[in-house]
Amino acid sequence: MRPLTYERATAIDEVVRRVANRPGAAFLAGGTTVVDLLKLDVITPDLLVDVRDLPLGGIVAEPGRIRIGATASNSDVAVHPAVRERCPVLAEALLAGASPQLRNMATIAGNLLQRTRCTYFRDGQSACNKREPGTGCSALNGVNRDHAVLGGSDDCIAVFPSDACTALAMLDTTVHTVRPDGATRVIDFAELHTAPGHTPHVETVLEHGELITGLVVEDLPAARRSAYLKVRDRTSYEFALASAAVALEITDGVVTAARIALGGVATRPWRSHAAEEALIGGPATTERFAGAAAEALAGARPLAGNAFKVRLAEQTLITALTDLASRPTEEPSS
Amino acid sequence: MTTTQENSPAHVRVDGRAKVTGQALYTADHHPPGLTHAVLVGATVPSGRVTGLDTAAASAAPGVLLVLTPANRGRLGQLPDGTRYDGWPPEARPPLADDTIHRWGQYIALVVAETLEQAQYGASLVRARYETAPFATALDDATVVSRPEQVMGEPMQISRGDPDTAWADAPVRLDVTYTSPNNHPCALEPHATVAEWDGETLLVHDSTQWVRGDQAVLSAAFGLAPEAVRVRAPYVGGMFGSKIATGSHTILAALAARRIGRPVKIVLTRKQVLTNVGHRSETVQRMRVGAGPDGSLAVLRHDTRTHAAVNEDGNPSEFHEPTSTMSRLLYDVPAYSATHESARLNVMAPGWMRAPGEATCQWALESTLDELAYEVGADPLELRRRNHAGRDPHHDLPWSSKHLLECYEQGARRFGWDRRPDAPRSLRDGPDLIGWGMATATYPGWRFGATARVRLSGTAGGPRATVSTSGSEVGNGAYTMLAMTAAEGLGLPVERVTVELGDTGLPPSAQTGGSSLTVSTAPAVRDACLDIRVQLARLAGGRPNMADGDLLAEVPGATLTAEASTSPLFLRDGEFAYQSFGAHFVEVRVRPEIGRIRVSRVVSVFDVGRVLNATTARSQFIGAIIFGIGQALHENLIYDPVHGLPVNADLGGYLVPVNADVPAIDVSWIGAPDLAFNPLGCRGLGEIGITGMAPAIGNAVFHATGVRVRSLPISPAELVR
Amino acid sequence: MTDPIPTSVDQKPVATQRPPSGMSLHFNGVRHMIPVDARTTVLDALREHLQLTGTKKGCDHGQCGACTVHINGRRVLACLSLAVAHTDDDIRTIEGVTPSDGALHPVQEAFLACDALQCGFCTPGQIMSAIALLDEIKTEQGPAARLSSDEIRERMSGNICRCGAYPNIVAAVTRAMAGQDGAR
Repeated sequence: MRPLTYERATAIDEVVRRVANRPGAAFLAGGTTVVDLLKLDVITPDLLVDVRDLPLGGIVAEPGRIRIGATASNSDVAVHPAVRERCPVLAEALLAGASPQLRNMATIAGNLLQRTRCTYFRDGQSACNKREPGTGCSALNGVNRDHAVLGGSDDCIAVFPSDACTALAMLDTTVHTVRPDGATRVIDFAELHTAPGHTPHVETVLEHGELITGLVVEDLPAARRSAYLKVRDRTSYEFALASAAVALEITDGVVTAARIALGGVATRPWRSHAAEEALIGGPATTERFAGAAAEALAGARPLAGNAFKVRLAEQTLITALTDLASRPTEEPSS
Repeated sequence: MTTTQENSPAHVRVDGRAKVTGQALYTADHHPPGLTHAVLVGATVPSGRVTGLDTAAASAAPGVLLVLTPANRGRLGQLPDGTRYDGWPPEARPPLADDTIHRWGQYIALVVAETLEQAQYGASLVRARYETAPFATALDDATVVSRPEQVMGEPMQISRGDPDTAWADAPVRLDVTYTSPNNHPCALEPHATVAEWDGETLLVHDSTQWVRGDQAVLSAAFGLAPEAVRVRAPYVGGMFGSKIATGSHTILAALAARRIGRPVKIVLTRKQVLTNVGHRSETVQRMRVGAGPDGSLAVLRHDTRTHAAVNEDGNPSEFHEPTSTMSRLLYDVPAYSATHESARLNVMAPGWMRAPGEATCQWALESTLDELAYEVGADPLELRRRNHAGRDPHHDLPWSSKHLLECYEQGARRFGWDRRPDAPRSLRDGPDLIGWGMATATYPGWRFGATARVRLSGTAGGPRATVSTSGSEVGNGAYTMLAMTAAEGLGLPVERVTVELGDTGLPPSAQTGGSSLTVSTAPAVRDACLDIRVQLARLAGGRPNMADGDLLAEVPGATLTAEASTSPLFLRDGEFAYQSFGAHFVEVRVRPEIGRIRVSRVVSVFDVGRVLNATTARSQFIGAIIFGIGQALHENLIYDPVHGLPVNADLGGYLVPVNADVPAIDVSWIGAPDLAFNPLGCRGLGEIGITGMAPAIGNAVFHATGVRVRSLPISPAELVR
Repeated sequence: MTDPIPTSVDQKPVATQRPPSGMSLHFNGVRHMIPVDARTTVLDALREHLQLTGTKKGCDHGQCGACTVHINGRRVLACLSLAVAHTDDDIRTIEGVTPSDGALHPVQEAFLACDALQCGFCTPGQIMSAIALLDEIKTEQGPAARLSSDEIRERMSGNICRCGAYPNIVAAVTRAMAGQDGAR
C-alpha cells in the first residue's frame, strides 16, 4: 500500500471539497472495499477522507417511503422493522451478502459503489480495461465462470457483485448526492450505474468528489411480498453465481404487479422490465414464470466458462417466483 | 461427550485454555527485540526469464533495509533432496537461484524494512522486466509428460493377475473417468517464519509440522552443524500436509536476518500460501472395472494422470499424487493394474495434502463402485461386502486388524440405511430431492518413529511429570494425548503432567504427518513411563506392594528421567499389512432446479484401533469429514490456461466450507486395539475421515437426482437443468 | 427523528482536524500510542505495533474472520479497519474479554468444554464473533432469545475454521446461549 493521508471532518461540504479538490482523493466509509483494494494496490488514492463522522447514519420510515442515510450499516438496514415489513427483499438481500462482521462495517452507500470481484481486475497485473483503460480484457478468453452474461461488452464482462443493489434495482429507489459545487441532486437508481461499453472504468454517473448522502426507497405495494434468492457454491459468505430479487402482487390468481431484478450475472444492477411485463395480467404459473425468465435472459451473451449461468439465472428466477407465489399473502417474510 | 459405544477415555484439550484466551503463541506472534519485516515479491509471468529487475525505488523507500534478489543472494549450501527422509526443501531448485521463471508467483525478490507497512510498500516498488516463454498450466497443454516409477517407495506402474484377459472376459464392464481439481491444504495460519541469529547459531520460529526437517534444511543451507540451528513450533495453526517441506520463505528469512544482523519476520500472504507451498494435484482417473453379474470384482484397471512441476523433472523425491495406492488393496480383486503419468506444468510443485493419494483414489474408486452397484442391481453397501478383502491382496499379507464389516454394519444401523429405496429420485421433502450415499474410508497405518523423554520430579505439592518430544501440536490434540498417556503410565492426574512439543532442542520425533505423531510418540511415552516405574520400584526396595502414590511420595526433590523410542513402520512388515478402515453414510438435499446441494446428515464409523482420547479424536474425524465436504462441493484452485496465473488464490475464491455448509455429524468407532501395530493398539486417525467423503456425497447426489457428476467439485453449474 | 439525508448543504467552512504525530488507540480500555501511518490497520496495530497477538491474521482481506474484534461493541474485521480511523473508538480483543482473575468468559468456557477448536488459530476470532452474536440476538429478539442450530451456523459463517470444528462451535454457542440466563 502506498503512503497516504487520512482526514476526517464532520461537515458534508468539507469532505466533498477535500475530495473534489484533489484528483487522488477518495471517500472512506466502511472500508470493506476501499481498504481491501488499497492493499491489493488496485486503487492508489493519496488521500482518504472519512465520511463516518457525518450525520448520515439514520434510517427514517415515513409514510410512503424509507429514507436511509448513506452511512447506515448494512446490518442496521437489514434489521430495520420498516425495511423488513415494506421491502423484505432488501433485508433478505443484505443478509445474504458477506458476513455479519462485514455487514456491521459496510455502509449502504458504499454498497452502491462496491467494486467487481473479477480476478483480473483485482490481481493488479492482468490486462483489464476497468483498472487500466485500453489494456484489454483478460476475462474474455480467460477463466470466466464468474463473469457476466448480461450487460457485458467486448471491453468488459465483470459482474457488479452487490446483493443489496439487486433488490434496490427492482424497488423504486432514488440516490441523493451532494456535488462538488455544493448542489444536491437526486438520481434514479436505474441511472446511477453505467454500462461498461467502451469505458468500463466509468461505473457510475457520479462526478469525482460527489458524495452519496442517502437513498430513498418509495413504498411499493408489491414489495411487501418480495423475496431474494441467491445461488452460490457454498451456503454462506460468498458472492452469487446467480440471484433474483422478486416481488409479486397476485389478485385472484392473476399477477397484477411484478418487480424483477437479477444479480451475479450482469455488469450492473439488472432490472428486467421485459420479465415483469411477461408476468403482469396473467396467471401465476410456472409456465408464465418460465416465459418471464426467458425474457429476462433473452439478451444473454454467454462465454465458454459462464454458459451455465444463463440456465442457472433463469431457474433462479423461476424458483424465486414459484416460492414467492406459494407464500401466504399477508405474511411478511423475514 | 463421545458418541462411541466403546469406552474410550475423554479429556478436555490441555492446551485449550491457552487457545481460547489467545495466549497460545504461533510463529507470527513472536516479536524479538529489533524485529524487522520482510515481504516477498513474486513473478507475474508463468514462464521465461527476468531480464531486468529494478530495485532502486524499493531500496530508496522509507524504512527499507534490504532488497534480496538472485544478484545479491549469495551462496546457499546444497539442500537435502528428500530421499533420506531427513528434511524436504520446497522445490529442488533453491530460492532466488537465478533469473529463470518456472511459474507465476515464483519469488524474485525479498524486501526487508523496519515496519510491515514499509516492507509491503517497498515490495510493490520492485519492477521486473521479463522475456516470456511458452508455458502450460492445463494438463492437455503439457509438452512433457513423465511416468513416475515410484512415489515415496510405492510403485506407481503395477500389474497383478491377468488384467487383459480378465477385462476381456468380464460379464459386466464399466469404463468411466473421474476427475478432481487442484485442492489446497490452506491452513488458516499462513506460513510464517521469524528468524534470528546469535553469532553462528540460528533460532527459527516457524509454522512447520516438522521442526527437525527444518533443522536439516537450514543447517545444510547455511553450512552449520544441526545443533547450531534451533527450530521452534510449539503451536501450529493447522497444516494438513503443507508444512512438511521447509518453505523458501523460511530459508530466505534466515538469510535476510543474517545479512542485516537483525531478526526478520515473514508472513506469507494468503495468495502466496495458495501458490507457493504446494497443493494437491488435479487428477484424471480412468477406472475400468470388470465384474461378475453379482458385482464380484474380477478386474480393476486404474490409469491416472496428475500434474507435476516443469522444474522438478529429475528430482528423486518428487511427489506425485499417488492415486492407486488404495485401489490396489482395498477390495478382493484378482486382476489389477495401475499406471500413472504426470504432465509437467508451470505451477508450484504439488505436495502432500491430507490423505494424499487416498482422498483422490477413493473419489474415483468409490464412485465407480456405486455405478457398478446400479449396473448389477445391487445395494451399494452389499456390493462392498461382496468384495470385502479378507487379506491385503496387493502385499499378500494378512491385515494386522480389520473391522470394516463392523463399520458397515454399525454405520448402516445408525443411519437407517435399510430404509433406502434403490432407485434414484425416490426421496423428496417439499421442493428438495433427498439422496443417500455411502462409501468406504481407508488410510494406511504408518509410524515415522519418535523418541520421548519423561521426567518425574518430586515437588512440594507432590510429583509432577514432564513429557518432551520434538513433534508439533497442529490441532491434533498431541499435548492432550501425551499428557493422558503419561498420566496413565505414572498413575498421576493429567493436570500434573506438562508436555513440551515443537522444539528441536527436545528428543527427536519425526514429522507431525501421515496421521503418525501420536501413534509414534505415545508408545514411546508409555515405555519411558514403564522405565520410570522400574526406577521407582528399585527405589522402593523390597516393598513391591507399595501403592503408586506412596512410591511417588518417596522421591521429594528427586528427579527420575527416562527416554524411549519407537521405530518407523510403513504400511507393512514381514507379518502384517497395517490399514485403517471406515464407512461414511451421507444424506444430501438437492434443490434440483437451481442445483443447490446441502449435506444434511453424515454418519461415519471408523476402525482405527484403540482411541486414546475420545474428545480430540472425534474432533479430528469431524474435521477431516468437513475436508471431504470441501473436496466434494467447493474446493478448486484454478490456473488460467491462457494467461498462466492463478485466478482464485484467496479465501473468497478458493472456497473452503463455512459453518453453514456443515450439518450435525455422527461419528463413532469400533475401538478394537491393533496390538500388532503398537503396544497401545492405536493407529493414526487424522486423515481417514476425508477419504470416501467426496464419493459418499457424489453417490448421494446421484441417488437424489439421477445425475452422475464425475468431476469435482459438484456445484450448481453441474446440476442445474 | 431527524432526516438522515440533507436536502441542502451548509457551506460554512469547518476547521480541519489533522491527526497528531502519534495515534492513540483505545484497546480493551487502555490507551496506546503508536506511530502514525495511515496505512496501518487495526490488526497490524494490535499485532505488530503493540504485540497484542491474540487477534490473528488469516487472510488480511476480509475473507476469513480470524481478526474479528469488537469496535464500539460490534463485531468487525480488524484487517479492513484503518487504525487512524478508529482513534476515538473502543476496541475490544480476545485479551480484553478474558477475565483478569484467571477465570474464563462463559463463551471461552463453552468453547473449551465443547472442544470447539483444534489448532486454535481461528479461535479468538470465533469467540469474539460468538460473544457479539449473543449480544446481537438479545438486541434483536430480547433477553430470552434462542437461535436454532441452523441460525447459529449462518450467523457464525463469517469465521472460517479449516480444522473443521464447526459442529462443536455450534454446540458451544448453544451452550453459552443457554447459560446466559442460567437455563443450562
